[in-house]
Amino acid sequence: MNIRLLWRERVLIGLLISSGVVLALLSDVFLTPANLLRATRYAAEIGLVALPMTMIIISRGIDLSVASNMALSAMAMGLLWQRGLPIWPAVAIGVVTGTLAGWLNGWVIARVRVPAIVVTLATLAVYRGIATGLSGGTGILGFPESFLALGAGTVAGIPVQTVIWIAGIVIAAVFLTRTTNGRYIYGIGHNETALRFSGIAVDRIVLGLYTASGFVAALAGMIYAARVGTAKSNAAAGYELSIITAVVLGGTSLAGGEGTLVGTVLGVLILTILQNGLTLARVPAAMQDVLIGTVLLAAVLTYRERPMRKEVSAQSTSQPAPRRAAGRAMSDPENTLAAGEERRKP
Amino acid sequence: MRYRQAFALTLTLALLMGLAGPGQAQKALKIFMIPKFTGAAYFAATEKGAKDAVAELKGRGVAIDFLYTGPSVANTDEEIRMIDDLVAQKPDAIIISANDAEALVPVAKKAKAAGIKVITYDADVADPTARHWFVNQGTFTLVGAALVDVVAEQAGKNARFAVVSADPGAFNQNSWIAAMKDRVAKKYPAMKLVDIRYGLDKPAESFSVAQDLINKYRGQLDAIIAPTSVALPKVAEAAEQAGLAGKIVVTGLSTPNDMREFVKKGTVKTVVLWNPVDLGYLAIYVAHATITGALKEGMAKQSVQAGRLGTREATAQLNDITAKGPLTLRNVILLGAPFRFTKENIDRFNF
Repeated sequence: MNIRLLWRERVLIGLLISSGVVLALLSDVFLTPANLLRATRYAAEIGLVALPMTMIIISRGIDLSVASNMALSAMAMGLLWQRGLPIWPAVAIGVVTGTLAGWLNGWVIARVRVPAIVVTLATLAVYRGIATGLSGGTGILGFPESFLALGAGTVAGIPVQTVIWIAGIVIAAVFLTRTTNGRYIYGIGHNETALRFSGIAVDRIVLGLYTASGFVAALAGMIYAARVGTAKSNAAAGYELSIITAVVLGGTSLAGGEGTLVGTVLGVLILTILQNGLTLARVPAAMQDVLIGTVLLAAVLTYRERPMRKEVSAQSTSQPAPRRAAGRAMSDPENTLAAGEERRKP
Repeated sequence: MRYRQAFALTLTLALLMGLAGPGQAQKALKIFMIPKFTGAAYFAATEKGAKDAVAELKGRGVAIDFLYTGPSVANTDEEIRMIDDLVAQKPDAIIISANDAEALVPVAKKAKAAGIKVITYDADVADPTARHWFVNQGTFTLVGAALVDVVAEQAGKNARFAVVSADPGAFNQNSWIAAMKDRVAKKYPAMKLVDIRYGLDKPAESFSVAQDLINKYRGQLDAIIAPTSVALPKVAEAAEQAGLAGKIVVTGLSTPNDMREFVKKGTVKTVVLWNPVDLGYLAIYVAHATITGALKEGMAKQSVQAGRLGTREATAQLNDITAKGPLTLRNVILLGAPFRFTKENIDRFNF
């Protein structure tokens, strides 16, 4: 396998390793397998939702409703279970609830043509509100052990949710880099109009992205409920910002068209080990927030330097053909989605 | 460009290094205290009390490696994560105030299973078997009754009152509300609790829900009770802005420092609370007694010697009212009766 890493991904790996070294010096507990595996329990929830979020941001969209959706799906699951439904059918219906909530976001964005930030800002409030209304302010407790294992169990020593996260990364990576629709996502972020004129079903792809985001958020909501042992309406409050932070730290551009899943996974890992290691090193929480903000800013500043210049030269010299034939070439995945691919080359 | 990147990395790493705490003391008892959040005078006062107790114990030859840390704002998820991280350091005891009674049960159980003495203070977890002792600042029954009594004294026995609480899932606040309802039903049948709003322990939101209440029930509301230190000053501020200072009774639970100006102006005549400095102080003595084995979980008729506070009884069973109906508290150590801060005595306190 030939893995080529982007400049920003190399920066991220450097950052991950160097913060790992520093944190290991600060705390003797940090660099133990038990601690690192335990930390991935927290990474998995954010990491899972960050996968479709990366694709959505590449397509120049955003989904702010994910954390509210986590709470809503978990609440739906908890209420059904409380009313006598067996746990796994309740989980399935909870996941369907979240998927429908995601589909609704996508439908309003793609069909009614309301900007994603407006739609999901509204559903952020609406979904959380419905969850709070359903719960009446109290959490649901006492889930069976088989369900709690989703949040606290292990498979061959690895936390269950970490295994799910890894599976999610593989599926998402195959979709984004190896399928036609996955490559179109970059095109949507670059130039949506061009794709539309090329006869590509942009709306269908966008609808699919937000639906997938809802599905994954619901899954993460189940894992969250299993980890804390309770379904509650204020679950995962503020997670949407951590998720978007990880994606942006991972080098995905909010302007669309650029970004990789490798970057996002590295972003999630860096945020996770910083929070874990700094707590172990007894750094106060407020100071941790300042540090994480500094890391984000420092990383994003370094991205701005090298790649830009290289991309400009790459576009002006080696890629004139697809530009001229944009309309026709766009309908051909082999060619077009070079648009996203070309940024990998320098 | 490479320089710039190197510079950014170096800067970040330097920050990381600079913030590292000093090396941990050898062979000292490790006691970690995790409040709901660190940015409030109330929890700072419990920290002060805890540090007093640590210093006293040190004077008696008990070395303690004490750490006070918590989320910077009320955040259940961050608290769970911090406790889980800190448990990896294998402390002898952790002292927790739970942001969410239910959600913290698994992490508390996990710590207890790892052989760590788990003490809750200020806000308990929902499952008493998840911890060893709860250092109780005053039962819900006592505090809820004291708040309703203040309203009855200042607004009459047929007052209509509302509550501005913290988070809808906050076990403490919900239980005080249940105790208030109980007191009203038993002692003041003509009194009425008309509405409950939630400010989520955030100043801006507490202020806006207080305004909502005042506007909705203009002229038909005699009192507002805010059983959280974040909301009470904001409710007082909202009452003043609506021109109702002195016309509507505002009371609740808060610290003297947060309420001083309102108590002096007369917007709030009485603030009910306990002394959080004593609470943190007692929590350390309870943690220490649990580590040494002087206090044993589940045994009846025990007591703990708590320095300047004297002796406090450790109760295996105590009846109380909570958000989930009547409850027999298990393994509780009571701080004492609630305290009323008024214009006359408030200047004696600084927390």
